[in-house]
Amino acid sequence: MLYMCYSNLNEKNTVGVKKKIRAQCHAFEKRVGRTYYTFFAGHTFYLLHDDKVVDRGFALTKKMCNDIALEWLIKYAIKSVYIRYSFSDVWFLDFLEELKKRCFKVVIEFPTIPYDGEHGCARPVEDRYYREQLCQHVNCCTTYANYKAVFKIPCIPLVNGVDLEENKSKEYREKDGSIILVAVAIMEKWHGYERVIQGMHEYYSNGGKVNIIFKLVGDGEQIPYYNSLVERYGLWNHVHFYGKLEGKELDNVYDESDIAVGVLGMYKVGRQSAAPIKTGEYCARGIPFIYGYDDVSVTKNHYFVQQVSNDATPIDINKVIEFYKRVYSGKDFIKDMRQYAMANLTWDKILATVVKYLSTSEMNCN
Amino acid sequence: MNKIEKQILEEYSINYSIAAMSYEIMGIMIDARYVEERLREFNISSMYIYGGTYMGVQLYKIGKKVSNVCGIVDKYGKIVGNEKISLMMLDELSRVYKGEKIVVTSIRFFKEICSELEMFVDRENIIGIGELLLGRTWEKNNLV
Repeated sequence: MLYMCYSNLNEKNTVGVKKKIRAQCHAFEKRVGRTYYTFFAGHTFYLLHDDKVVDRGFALTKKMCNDIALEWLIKYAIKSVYIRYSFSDVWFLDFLEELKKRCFKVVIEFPTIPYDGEHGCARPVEDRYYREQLCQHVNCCTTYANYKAVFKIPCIPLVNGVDLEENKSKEYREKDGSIILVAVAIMEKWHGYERVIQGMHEYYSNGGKVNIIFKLVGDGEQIPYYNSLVERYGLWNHVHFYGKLEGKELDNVYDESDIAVGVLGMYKVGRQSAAPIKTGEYCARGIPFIYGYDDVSVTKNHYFVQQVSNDATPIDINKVIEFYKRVYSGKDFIKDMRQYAMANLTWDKILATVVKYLSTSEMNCN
Repeated sequence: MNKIEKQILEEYSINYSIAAMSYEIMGIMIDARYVEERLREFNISSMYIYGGTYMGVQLYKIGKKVSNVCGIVDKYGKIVGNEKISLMMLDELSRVYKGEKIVVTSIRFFKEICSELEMFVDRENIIGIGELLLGRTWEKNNLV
């Protein structure tokens, strides 16, 4: 199988994407067979297997990448193609048409839907025009939200998988009267962590007594904004910034935390439903969490999660305290969350329906 | 869109990509330390630079600190500025070439240059400037 990616996976800000693609390829390889993936950097289109470059071709445009891909499909006897969507143009449609003509099984993955509000597409008018024609050439797509179809293409909804080896179970923290919240992310506007900071300000302004600590782990464009809020509200004793952490340092922060904070700002990008990678990581680590959207990976009925509103309202810290007391009442939430992750959030499990579509002669995937 | 219109659009697209990439690369070349790091990552101990352009001369100035730069090769024997740099034409390179890496600084004519070089140079030893600065290193024995 060929997993086509047009991004530059050599850049620091695509580390997460590269990890995800490699994890997906490992899952595909077990069921579909030898799985290659591509990326595009420095006028070169690379073909990789198991993170090793096996071929490369000179390419300046996406069209040239597509032409090289067609050669590789024949050279490496590849039968199916999984495409990580970047944007639509006339060349992409020609490529899909050619794949269809040559009877390749094709699935397009839309990493984000809707995406019109996000950082964008370099040519949004062109993309909006041509994407309406994708359904003429492709019978199956996937995305990380609960959609039956995307741009009229039948859709298999996915959730983001998690690597259980990289995300070890946290240790239990002894109760000391404080509640430690943690958010781990490259801080972008849709994380909306200002809602927690604003909620803490309201809590203490109204006489709140519990010592709440909020740990922000990661870099990102929102850090200066969060800093300014902490400065404005005088919350330096309660909000701590750690920068980017990995490995044992990150494990230690999770061990010393009680509740994780998921995405709280989906409303800023017009989304209600999503499956951020962080959900899987929090489940794998066994740290209960709050989140502000409809998460496809985990329903709000599970006792170890708390859904909050998807808007700009400051987080009600009293409700967070109640959530903490419910979860930390003797339940083995670390074990329960880890088991949930193992049963539902590994890539093998998540991609099973996609594998079935790629492996059979079914024309539609749902 | 008919075939000719697509070809016209493709030409614009290619020209735009060349301009954008050239701009990006010239910017990167200002960071000499980064360029040196990349030459080390690619394990380039000895190289020729193809193209007597500003990019070629800049790469020469930076490259000679970390690598043995055997000279600049230019099809027309031309080089910008008044630099005292060993300059040779393609036929001379074909006579003296001993397996060094060749970094091609032209983006627009990379394919054509490659075709000419491949008459006596292994493809694995030809690296585009964009690949050197933005691409990924690879092991020769992994390439098919």
